[in-house]
Amino acid sequence: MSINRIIGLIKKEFIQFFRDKIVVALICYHFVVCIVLCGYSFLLQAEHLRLVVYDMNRTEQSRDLIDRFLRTEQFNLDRYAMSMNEVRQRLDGSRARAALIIPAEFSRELAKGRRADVQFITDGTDANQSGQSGGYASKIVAAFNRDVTLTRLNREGISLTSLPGVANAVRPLYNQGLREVDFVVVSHILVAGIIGGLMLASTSIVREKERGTIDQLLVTPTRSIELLLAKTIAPLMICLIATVFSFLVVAWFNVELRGSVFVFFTFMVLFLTSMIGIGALIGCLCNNTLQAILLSFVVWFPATFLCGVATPVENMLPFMQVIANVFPTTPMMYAINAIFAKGQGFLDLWREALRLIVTGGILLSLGAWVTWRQWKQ
Amino acid sequence: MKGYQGFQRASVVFRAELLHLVRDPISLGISLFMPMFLLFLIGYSVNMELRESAIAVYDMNKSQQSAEYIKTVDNTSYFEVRYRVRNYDELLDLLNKGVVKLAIIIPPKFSENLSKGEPAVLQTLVDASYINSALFILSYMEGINGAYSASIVNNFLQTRGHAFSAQPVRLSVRSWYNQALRELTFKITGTFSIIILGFVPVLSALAIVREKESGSIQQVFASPITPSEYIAGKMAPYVIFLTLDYLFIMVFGIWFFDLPFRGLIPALFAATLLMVFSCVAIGFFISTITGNQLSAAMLAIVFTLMPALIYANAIAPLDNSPVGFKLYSNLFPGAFYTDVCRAILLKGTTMYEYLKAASSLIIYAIVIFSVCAWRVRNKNI
Repeated sequence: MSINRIIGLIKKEFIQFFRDKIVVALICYHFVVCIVLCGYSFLLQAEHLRLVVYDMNRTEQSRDLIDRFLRTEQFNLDRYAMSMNEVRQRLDGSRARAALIIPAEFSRELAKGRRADVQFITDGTDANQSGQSGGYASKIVAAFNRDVTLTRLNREGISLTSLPGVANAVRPLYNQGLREVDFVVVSHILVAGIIGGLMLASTSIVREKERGTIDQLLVTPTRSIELLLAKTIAPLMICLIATVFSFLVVAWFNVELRGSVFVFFTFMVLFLTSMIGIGALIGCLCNNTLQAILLSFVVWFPATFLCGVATPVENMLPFMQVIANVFPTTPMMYAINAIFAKGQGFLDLWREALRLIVTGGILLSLGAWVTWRQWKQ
Repeated sequence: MKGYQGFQRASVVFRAELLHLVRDPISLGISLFMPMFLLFLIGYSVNMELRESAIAVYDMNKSQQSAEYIKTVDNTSYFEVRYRVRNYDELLDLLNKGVVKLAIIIPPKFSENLSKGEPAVLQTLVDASYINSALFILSYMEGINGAYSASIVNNFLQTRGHAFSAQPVRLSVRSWYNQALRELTFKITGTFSIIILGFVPVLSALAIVREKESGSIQQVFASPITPSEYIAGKMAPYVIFLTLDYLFIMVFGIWFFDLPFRGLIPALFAATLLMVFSCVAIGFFISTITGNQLSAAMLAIVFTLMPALIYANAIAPLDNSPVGFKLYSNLFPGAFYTDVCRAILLKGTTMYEYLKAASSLIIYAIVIFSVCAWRVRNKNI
């Protein structure tokens, strides 16, 4: 094996990469622009939900209750409905996401010391949103109940300022402000890495086969192992440089990196190696670019969806969790999150690092073996 | 494309492209079956139920009351009190290692406070690094606490002989239409858009760029075929195959996931045809921009699939997004198609929403086709 030949081949890969302005631009896009876009658009916390109110009671008490809803950041007034039909229309047409319905007997029941029923209807379209809005509504009504009960007790001559109950003083760890942006930005660096690694590695190998230049390469003194090394190292370097640019986005959103940059890049290298290993395998198995792209998709989709970006792994069905853990994206997601948010290093994340090393090792060896079989002279 | 001869020339290209497709069983297989696979993947994985999530409790009170509280939390299907720790450091350790996402500290005066009729405050530590789980877990926790508090207040009032209940206002929270079903419908219809946008533009873009790259496009230019006939012949197999394939996948998906279907199958067919046609046209448009397969593929992904995930109204509703995003989503047929599907599935085809979305899709198809025709006329192929 000659280092000079490998370096020469890597240079060739770089030249071919930069010759294609669009691909360069797209790699930049994935690692920078796309993350910015996602940072601004992935908003999970349900806020400013439009609430349509159907108040059949129209007294001070009902207005008090309604006020408590509208005063919060979570609910904005859509409109005051005049009938159930209108409520239905507003929900159906997605003009409102929730409805609050106060019956006519509301204040009467309260005055008599009986129970008044209030309906809160959510649009079940987005389970995330509707679950949260139901939770907010319960909280607001619970506070209302407390006040009413205290007033009643006071009227009976018992002066209490508070009622027994259990409350949470929530202390979010690692993310004081419950910012979602941090997670979105960090996880999208990962996604960009998946795409970059898979696409670059697989297409660089398939390209040679398709154009027929593979024969020219094999006639040279280059050994097939050197070729494979060059074709895996070049994408690795390109993706790493692109990751450096991602840090600009990290700074843009003020995402805090509590861990060390060195640890992060080490994990990035390990992860990209796995991805490139898969890409190389795909490249060896396919005969043309279309197949390589499609197979990359086959890998990319499950890797992204199951790694914990969209849904936490613990919430998935057990058999999906097993599949999720096969992909190197899952431990990487956990590690990268821990590095940024918790500031953990190798001591804490050695398990994830080990998984990545093992997966990467297996994939690369597989790729090397298949390549050797195909290209052996 | 004038006259019978034009049609003959186009059909020659049609047959050639068909042969191309058939001779590449790997690509064919992947493009026909991957969408199905993806449908199941998303259908099963985007399910956000909290199940027996492990939590840790540090009980500084150690009374009957606190034990009862812990049992209440443990009894729910959402949480499992797996770790009872003796000190604060152990708690932090479990959180650091990611073993638990939530930890509760019960203060020493817990039962005292409650029996005196004062509120008891529990310190709740939550791992907010995985923010989506954190939000979920917190809202479930608050629900549990709310219910528990209500029962305490009830006891409190009863022991003091008051006649009224602690819950003067009872809130009934309902979600219209079976909630789980509606969410699944939402996600699956979104997935329909994603799977079409994911594969069709790439396939059609590469179909032409392949020829550009290998140089055989020059032979096409040298022949009497006009650009429009060439495009029509090239695109037709994809439009036909993929429409049928996707229609099948959709019907299967609707049947398998037991989704409602209040519209008509011909409406679904027409919408799918328009969507596939638009995506093929997008792919073709991309192929006029570049001559390199990799860049064509990546362009296709970046400008169709990636936006589809966010802007096609698929994973998260677009309503709460800024106006700019809503405008940007109009560049892709994804949102229109998702809305049409949802309208067909949930509301039937005579509703206003369906007509609005369907006409948007038609307009989009016309616009993108005109753009392609314009590119062809300028001989930009």
